[in-house]
Amino acid sequence: MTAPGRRIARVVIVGGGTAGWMAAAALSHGLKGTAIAIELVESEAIGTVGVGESTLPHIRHFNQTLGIDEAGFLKDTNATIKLGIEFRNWARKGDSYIHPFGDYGHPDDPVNFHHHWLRLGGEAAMGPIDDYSLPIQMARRERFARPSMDMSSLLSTFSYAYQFDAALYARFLRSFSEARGVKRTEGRVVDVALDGESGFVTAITLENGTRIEGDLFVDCSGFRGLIIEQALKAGYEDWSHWLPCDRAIALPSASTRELPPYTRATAQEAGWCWRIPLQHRVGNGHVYASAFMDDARAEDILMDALENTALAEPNRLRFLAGKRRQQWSKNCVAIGLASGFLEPLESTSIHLIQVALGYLLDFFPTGAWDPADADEFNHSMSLEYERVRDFLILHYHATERDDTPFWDYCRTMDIPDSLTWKMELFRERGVPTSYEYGVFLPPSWIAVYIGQRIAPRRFDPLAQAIPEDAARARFARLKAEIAALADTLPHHGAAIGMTRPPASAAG
Amino acid sequence: MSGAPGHIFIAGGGVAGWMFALAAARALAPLGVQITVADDGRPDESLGAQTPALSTLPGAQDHHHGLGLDDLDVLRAARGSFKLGERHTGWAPGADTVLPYGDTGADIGPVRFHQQLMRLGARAGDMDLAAYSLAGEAARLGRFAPPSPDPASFLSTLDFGLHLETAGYARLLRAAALQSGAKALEGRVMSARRGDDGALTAALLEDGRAIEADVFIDATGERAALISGVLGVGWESWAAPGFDRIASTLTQEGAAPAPLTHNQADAAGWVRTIPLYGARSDQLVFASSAMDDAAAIGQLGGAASVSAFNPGRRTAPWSANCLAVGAAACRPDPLASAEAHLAASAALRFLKLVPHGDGGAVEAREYNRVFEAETGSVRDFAAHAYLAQTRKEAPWARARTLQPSPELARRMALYAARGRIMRSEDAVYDEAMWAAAFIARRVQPHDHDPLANGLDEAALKHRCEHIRQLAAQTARRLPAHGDMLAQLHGRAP
Repeated sequence: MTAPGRRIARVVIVGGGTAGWMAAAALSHGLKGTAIAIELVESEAIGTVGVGESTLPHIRHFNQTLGIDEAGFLKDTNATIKLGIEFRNWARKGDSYIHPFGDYGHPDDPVNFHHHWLRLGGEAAMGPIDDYSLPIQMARRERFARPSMDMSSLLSTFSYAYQFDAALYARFLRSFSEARGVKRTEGRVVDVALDGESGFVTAITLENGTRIEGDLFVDCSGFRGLIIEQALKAGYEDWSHWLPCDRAIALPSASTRELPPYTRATAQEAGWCWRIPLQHRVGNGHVYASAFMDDARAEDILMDALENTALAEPNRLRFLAGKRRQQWSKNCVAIGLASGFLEPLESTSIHLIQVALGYLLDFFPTGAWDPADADEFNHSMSLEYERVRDFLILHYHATERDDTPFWDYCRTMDIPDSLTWKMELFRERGVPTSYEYGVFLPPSWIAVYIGQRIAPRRFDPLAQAIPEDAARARFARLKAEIAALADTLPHHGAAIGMTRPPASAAG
Repeated sequence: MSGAPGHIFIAGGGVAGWMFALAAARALAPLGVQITVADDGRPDESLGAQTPALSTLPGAQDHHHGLGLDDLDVLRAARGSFKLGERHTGWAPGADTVLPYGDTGADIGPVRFHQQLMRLGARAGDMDLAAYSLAGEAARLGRFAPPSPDPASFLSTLDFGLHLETAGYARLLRAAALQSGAKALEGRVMSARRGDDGALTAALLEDGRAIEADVFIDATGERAALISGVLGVGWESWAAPGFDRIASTLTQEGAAPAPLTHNQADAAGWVRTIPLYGARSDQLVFASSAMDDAAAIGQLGGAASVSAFNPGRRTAPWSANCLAVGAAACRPDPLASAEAHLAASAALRFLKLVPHGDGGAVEAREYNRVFEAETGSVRDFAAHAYLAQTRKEAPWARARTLQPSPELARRMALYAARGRIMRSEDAVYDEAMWAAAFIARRVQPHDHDPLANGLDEAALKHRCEHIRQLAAQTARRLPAHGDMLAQLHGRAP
């Protein structure tokens, strides 16, 4: 019955979880008033992956658009603040840097701070570049205050995101969506019916025999891509030769005395471990490459990394880095893990869901099913995926580690041309490439390049406009100013109104 | 570890050469970099032949600020007037539309303003977008005031470009560049000497002098004495088939200038009128198959001059140690209003990538990559006007055979379907400007955005009507553009 030409009257979202309920929330808000009905089908029996507990600052915009109150959201999802990600042991064992959601140096300097830092002798003479970033110093001190709108203030130099319980966020968005008319149906999908002529999806059938018809299907079924792949055969672009990690073990542990407002990613023998502190527990995981490490060893590494008692049995996941060739095919749009997989190293999973929903609303179809809409959606999402991909590859490739076959592979592998020239430009003269769209802006690239020891051969000659002595004095003052300001800010827990004391310390 | 080039030599003055010199001198002269401009004193063709006046995009103000120039000084030096948008007449039978700058109406969530009007039944032919824009209404009434910095004020929704006489603008840029430490040298660059590695070592002047430098800027206009003459870098032509000539004239005029650039299509070509304070410039782009030069000169009042017209861009404007700017790098179609924008962005981009004594290849690749994206937008914005026009005459029918770039084809398909605007990587023209262009060019989408159906019709009607009245009432209270200019210039035109 969903032959092209029919008005879009029913949207069916297949799969709950973070992607499904974010889709339900965004569509119920965006389609308000159109009389388009939204139904979400999920099964309690199928677990959600829920590894996307660490987010990017853009999530705040998503919540604000929906009119979600921050205080209530923080409380209901046990969220903490995130000012960046600490990377340990990436370029060399023993290294540590933070990729902050913010800039280095003064907000009103026309020359990027790292050029001054390089000119004045880099780390040897100036100390770590982290000392010149307010969000990093806040993070290290476990302190937080909301950014200022006053562009001359150091407090305007950063943004922030959240670390939250993805299952609680999904539940939170479920109440939001159901209050706006989204119908939730419990059940496992056992069949997808296609129109013989157009190949469009006409209906799904549940285990109990219920048949649900729809005009637009949003596939949020996770890795397997129940509709987009199993029924529509959209195809998969495999990027595992660049991002060889293909397994993960996730495991929550009890809180410790600390409440760091940042996520930690510690490089291991053949992958890396995450640590995401929430209000009520700590999320942990180990992402690794099965070609270089067996599951038992991977679990040992994760157990060793825990800072407190495990709260559950390990949850094992398998995946393949890459993306669907067509994320929008026929009348099906894949969102979340059904659309592709990029490991959570830079916390992009939830962001890519959010971006896809933005494009879906921008290019929302009509019964005419004009191919221009799907083409533009696919084109835009491909760019988003590729740019995140290049940024992730940088973390693995920009290393001096030669202690395991995995790092030997990553250090010497061929990388995409798009990344090669970005790295060359930075190595040559410290300039990050910029583009209009794509999530990571120049400050993020600078943080990772410098943090992973890509030392530019030259700095911007314009940095020399200030005499060297004056520059040295100015930045010594700045460093002191940042440290002093960070010391005066509220503690993280107090800043988010946490009332419960954190659990007792480990051991 | 680091060092700026010792000597930057700029071949050719004019707006392109002197704007580059000013930007470079402000940033690099304090570091001891020597900046020399060889200016031959002939009429300025650095931004292309037959460009006696410039009509800029909004944003020229920001460029001026970055160059340490005061907008009012610029306007005074260049017989300047304000530009609130562009008027198009005759591109479709009977059509007379305005493409306004600044905000038009207001989006509701993801529903763009033009989608709201289409939801209320407006068709491309009768949609008067300018009536919902302060710039559009002010232009209609010949009024102007600078936008308010207060975002709560309706006056903040206005934006503007500038109308500038090219010669006066170049004089001002020259004076400012000299004051910032650039040096002028009288002479005409004809060629250059090359070293074993292919890089330029010395520019050769008409009078036999050879000037050595580390970096060479080719601002010689379409002559492209260095980038083409010496290095042989290719040209990608964008011309609409058949539109191969351009004529221009600058005439005195007493009437108060309209705050709009006017593009008027006619049987064999189209005339672009840029109103200045006390003068006007007319450019006629025409098809030699339908009109000879004498007829073109006659149409412009008898005192015009004529040149070949071949808009397009250099395939690699930064090659070896030579960077082409102005028309030596890209000659946009006048409809794109991009000459000044491209000259300024070239200088600012170069300053982010100033090569070092022994470097340049990596910087050149990055510069050329961004140049390609930016000029691609400029190409598409103008090309679309030739594709969208519906005139019947032979040259216009032939112009419609222009092959759109793949990006423009996608952009047009997307708009044709549901009136949606594609995002572009380099936003020389923002979404609102593209929407205004599609509407001014009377493209009718098959349908509107289905999300607009979610809006309550009566409330939406009321809201749009409110915006229309607000625009009209606010515009009526603004000063007359002519009075504003008389005060600014401190004299009668």
